[in-house]
Amino acid sequence: MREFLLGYGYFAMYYALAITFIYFLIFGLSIRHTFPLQRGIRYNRVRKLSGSEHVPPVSLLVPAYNEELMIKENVRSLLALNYPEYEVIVVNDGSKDDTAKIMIEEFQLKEIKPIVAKRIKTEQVRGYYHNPEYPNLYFIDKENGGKADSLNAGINLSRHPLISTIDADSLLEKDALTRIARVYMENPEETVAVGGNVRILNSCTVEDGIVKKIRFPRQWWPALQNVEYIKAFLGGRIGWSSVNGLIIVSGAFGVFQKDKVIAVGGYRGGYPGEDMNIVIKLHRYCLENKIPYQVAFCPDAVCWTQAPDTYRILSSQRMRWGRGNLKNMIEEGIHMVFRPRYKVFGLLTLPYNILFETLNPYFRLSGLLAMIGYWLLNMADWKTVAVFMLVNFFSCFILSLGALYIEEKAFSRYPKLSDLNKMMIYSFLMFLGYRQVGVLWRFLGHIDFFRNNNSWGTMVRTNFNK
Amino acid sequence: MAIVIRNGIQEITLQLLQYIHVATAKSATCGVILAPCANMNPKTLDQAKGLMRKNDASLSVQLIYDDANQVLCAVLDGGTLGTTHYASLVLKDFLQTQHLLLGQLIVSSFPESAKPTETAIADFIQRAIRSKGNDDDIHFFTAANAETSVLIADPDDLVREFIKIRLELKGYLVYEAKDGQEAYDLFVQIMPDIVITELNLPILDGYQLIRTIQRQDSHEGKVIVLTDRQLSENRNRAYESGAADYVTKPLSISELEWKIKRLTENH
Repeated sequence: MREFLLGYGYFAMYYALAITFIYFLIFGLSIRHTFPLQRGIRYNRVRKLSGSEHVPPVSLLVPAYNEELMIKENVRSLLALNYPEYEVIVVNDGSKDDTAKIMIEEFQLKEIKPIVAKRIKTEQVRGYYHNPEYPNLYFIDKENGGKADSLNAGINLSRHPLISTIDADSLLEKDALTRIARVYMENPEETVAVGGNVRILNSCTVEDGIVKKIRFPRQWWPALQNVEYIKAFLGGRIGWSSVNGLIIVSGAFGVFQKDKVIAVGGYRGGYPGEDMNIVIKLHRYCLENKIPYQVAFCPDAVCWTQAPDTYRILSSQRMRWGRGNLKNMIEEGIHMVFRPRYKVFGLLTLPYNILFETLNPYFRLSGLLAMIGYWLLNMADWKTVAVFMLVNFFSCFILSLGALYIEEKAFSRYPKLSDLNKMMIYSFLMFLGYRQVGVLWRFLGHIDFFRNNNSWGTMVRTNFNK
Repeated sequence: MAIVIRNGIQEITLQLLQYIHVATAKSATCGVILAPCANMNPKTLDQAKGLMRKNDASLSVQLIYDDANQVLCAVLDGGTLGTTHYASLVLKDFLQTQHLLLGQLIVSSFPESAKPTETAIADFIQRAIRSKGNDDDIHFFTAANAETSVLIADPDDLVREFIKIRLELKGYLVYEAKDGQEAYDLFVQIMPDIVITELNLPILDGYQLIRTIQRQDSHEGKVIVLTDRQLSENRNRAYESGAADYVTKPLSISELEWKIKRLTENH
């Protein structure tokens, strides 16, 4: 028993060292790429591009399920983006409320009979609607089939070579599309997907679908999530995208090449995590077919989203993520991991995701059990344990602060100094319970997965202005 | 909330507008005399009224005195420009002998010399206020020499402010709106001579705004599009909807001014 525990201790130490090393590696890459990004942002001519004929046309796909509260304002603000040529395709996924009715009445839509390419199989579509007064707005009413299915229906109707997926409960900044398009235009042949940056809307002031006053969330849960998002997006995704190992483009806002999405069979329904799934499939498809490609991240294209503000909603969201993540790893990841033909993605991204993200809860739990074992067998040298934990904690804390540094240096969205102080405090508080609970949620999500509990969980909407 | 110029003349403008509408409904025309004068009390008002009555019994005269701006308004039911002018001579004489007159009298007749819109009346009153301290002569107010009013619809605060400042320096009366619905409501209310609009507006987009304005008001060529969009199809759609001109951002303000000038001279 002692030998086993000792062996485990060594293993846990190497595990922690490896995870920290990868964290710092990715963070280093993020920092390195922040400055070129910042220059690009500073000198790009967004205004000029937003009306230019050189910008590729985009189809925005907006899946809507029970969105009667917000749908009107959201579609209105999507119709007024600063972008030369785009269409907005709203897909009603068999809502149980009046989403469809509100859309049809508000925009006086009439049923049309377009010729739709059935490139991806979807649920039965009840009708396509359009109003010549709003020439770039289309509305699809279909039977309930989940978010992925709605996106596929939207892809079938879309006319443009690029598609962008947008959550109906999020707000796009006016020039977000232009900024993302700029990243795409730098390398239009190879860029198969570009992810946008997601920021948290809670406590900000919204007027006419535009975020007017940016404030750090006042409530606990959103504030913690805010710090977590900044760390993941700026400290993580910039780095991952620089080595072309980005595994996820947020479902809330991303742009894809349509023909590639169709080539990999569209979005996969039935499970959450369809945003990660599509990116993994794109990586796989391009690597297997030797297509030079790139999955980019554009941190200055911002989409504002409402974060869950109660324990119940947040836990169901995280359990959903955990379930989706596990499903993706079992379905797709396992075929590609540690295989040199999948390059960075197979040798770095996937091992990192499987070992340090998906399996993290099990290591944590076994670590806890081992601790109890050491204590029972009097093997523990408390000093060593304390030092190890402190080193671990500080390395993570430094990374959080580093992400804040990137935020302030390159984007600096929060105008008030007090907000910055709050962010630092919450970066510290993240380690006192929030991360542990996060691990627990992921574990519960896995349990759900194995029990085949496949509900979407709850998400209660509130109006933007609180 | 758009910033409409709300100085002290709002109230008197609306009041006068109501009188004019009542008068024109009754007898098709309505003459108005504005005179900046000090310290009118009910007694002097009655005297003035009596004098004007005596002069021309066929006219019914109403006098309003706006304390805040020190302007006397005389509304003459059925007054043409000629009869109103004649009545103004009498009024001027009376005010001078009483040492009440502070500036020029301004005479107009609706709808003969101008359409009775809120902008026109506001302009009319402002002119009377501005004339304080000038020689005591009589001027005419007509649409031709009224200030051109411009409505700017653009979601971008900076763009609006920039154009507004520049146009106001050139003597235009400028109103602002930040979305299509607001622009349309303001348009109905003030009937501006020129509308400058972005195509990319929330609620009602630019094309819809142009179309509703054209339906509302068959004046050809009142809308100038000022937009980021440079595609030829945007241009075509804007002209199809009824725009008179199309300017792209980044804008040359002098170009915009020339276009406004040309349009206003045409109508």
